[in-house]
Amino acid sequence: MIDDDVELCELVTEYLEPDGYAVEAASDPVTGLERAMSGAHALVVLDVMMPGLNGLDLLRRLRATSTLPVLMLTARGRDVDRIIGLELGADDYLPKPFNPHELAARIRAILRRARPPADSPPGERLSVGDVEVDIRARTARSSGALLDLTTVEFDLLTALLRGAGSVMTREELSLQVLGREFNPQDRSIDTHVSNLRRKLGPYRQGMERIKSVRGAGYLYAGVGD
Amino acid sequence: MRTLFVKIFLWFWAAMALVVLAVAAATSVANMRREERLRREFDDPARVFAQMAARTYEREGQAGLSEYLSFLEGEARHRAWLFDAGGAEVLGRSAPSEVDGRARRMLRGEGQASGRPDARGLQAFAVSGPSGVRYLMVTRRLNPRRPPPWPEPRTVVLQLLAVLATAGLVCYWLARYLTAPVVRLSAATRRLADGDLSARVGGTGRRRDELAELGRDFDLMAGRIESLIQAQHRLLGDISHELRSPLARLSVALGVARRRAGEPAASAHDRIQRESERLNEMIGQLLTLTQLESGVDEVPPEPVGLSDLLGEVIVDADFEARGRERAVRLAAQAGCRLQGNRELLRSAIENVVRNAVRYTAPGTTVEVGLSHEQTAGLTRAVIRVRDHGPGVPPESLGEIFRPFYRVADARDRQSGGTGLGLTITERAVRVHGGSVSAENAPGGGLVVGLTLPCAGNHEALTAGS
Repeated sequence: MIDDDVELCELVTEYLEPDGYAVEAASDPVTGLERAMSGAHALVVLDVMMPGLNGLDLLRRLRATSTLPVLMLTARGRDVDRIIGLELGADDYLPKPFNPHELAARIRAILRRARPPADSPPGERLSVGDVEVDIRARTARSSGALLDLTTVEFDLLTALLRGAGSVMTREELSLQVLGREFNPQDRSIDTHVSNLRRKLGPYRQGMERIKSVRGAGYLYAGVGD
Repeated sequence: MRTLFVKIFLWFWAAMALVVLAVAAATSVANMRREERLRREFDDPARVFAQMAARTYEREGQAGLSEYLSFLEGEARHRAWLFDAGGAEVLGRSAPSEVDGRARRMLRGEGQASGRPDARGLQAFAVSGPSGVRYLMVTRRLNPRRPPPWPEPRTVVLQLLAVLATAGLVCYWLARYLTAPVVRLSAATRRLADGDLSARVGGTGRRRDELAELGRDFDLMAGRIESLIQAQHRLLGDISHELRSPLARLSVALGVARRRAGEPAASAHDRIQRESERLNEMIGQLLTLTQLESGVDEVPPEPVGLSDLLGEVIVDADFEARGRERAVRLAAQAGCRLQGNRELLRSAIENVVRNAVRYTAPGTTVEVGLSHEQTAGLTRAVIRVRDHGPGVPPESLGEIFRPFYRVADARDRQSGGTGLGLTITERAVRVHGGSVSAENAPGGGLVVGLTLPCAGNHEALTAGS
């Protein structure tokens, strides 16, 4: 947990440890970034409102080399931070002040996604057109080239590919990908979709792979559609 | 807007033109008087000439008279003919027919000896010589050069135009000089009133008069207001922000406490959670309000479909209201698309709808309508939210948009409002160029109206649910 509020870090540690989590707190962003890059952690809880090295800068630097899941803590009413954070590749966000129960739930959801599902058959693959996804290995390739996706983006792509050719509503995507009910004020899904679009790029014919269906949701279009 | 300019200009211009006209009129009256006097003075020498001619003729005979008449013609510019009582010219000259005619008419007793020269410049006088013989003399003034009583019309028009043009230029400059600072001052005042605290009159140049003084005083006042309000906003923003940190710790600590204490303390913990959530909501609204008032809009405007947005808000509000035996129904008769901040507009509408749900009587429905209003070529969307509650005393209708205003203290606290919702609504709507209104519905209940200007093409109508 990277947050300049030391007391808050202590309280969160106290709350999460009984659940079996080991929490390391860093109140200084520079140390925090160093520790996050060490590869010793499963997830980072990052406060984006910090003095000195801004939380968003930290996220940008972290994302340059790592796909470590990140849960942002944002200030309510600062929509800009939230949107930029999600664009930079944060997996989810929680406005501060938060209910610790909610924090634990989000952490669980992100970690569940990040861990390969044990029950999926080995080597399960999905492929639509030139995009191929290996669910077990959690890798995605476009025309053979490996895509650098965050866990949310990977899950979103998988969900869209499973429903390729039909419209998936924001409600469905929110439930499947983020593990929570859709809230109209929350544009996380839209931001993740636009990130995914950018990383996938359009079809060679210039056609958009993920189409927005106004008022309904998103659709992964096959080449022939 | 330019009426003061027009007034000053026209009044001074008219005054100048009138003064010039009056002076011109007085001058011509004086001229006419002088003309009269001159004319009288011109009569008299002719009469004297006649008497002198009669006397010369009797004393010195025809030669003397002839000499005298040539003298008159040369020196006094009068040509004269002397007739005897029989109507014969005494020198035996043949007079021009009009002169002869005038003399005969005089001798017949028609027409009088008059000093006035007639149309041909002729004057006739009957005189007696020293011997008592009567004569008649007709004179004609040569080259009657006299100043015309009125100048020629063309000159008059030209002079008048010159006067009006000069006066117009001077008055235009004067009116501009007087009104320009007033116009600037009023523009600055309007900007300040519209919430632009940086509005200043500025740059009075080399002016050192009362108007320049007024402009400088206005700038001083505006500067003072700006710094005061900014300080207030900063303080409010800082306080609200700083309150968030302890609240965040409180919330996590509450989670820890819940785990440790277990069921027996649950109701107290619920209460603590509710109150801290309320505090949080209030801080959030204070922050929103501070942002709105300081005019800081971080989010760039985006196209917002009003009926879609309204639909989303109503679905949520209806869901919550049903849990409390109330309902919310939307009747959208029109759509409207506008440029703005979607989240702000959402909370503006949401606050009014939630307020209505809070006050409407159990078992009743809050009715929300969206319609169009055309004024001066501008399409405005009107959102009306009507509840079936106790309404608001008429004298308080204008007050309900004020921060922390409460109509009836006890019940309001119980019903859990922060006292900022409608204030945020009012500010958010105003930021979008709209206005709010509140009135009591006939038959009870409050109707809150939000009027927002639509931009460009209208959104396709989506049926209400």
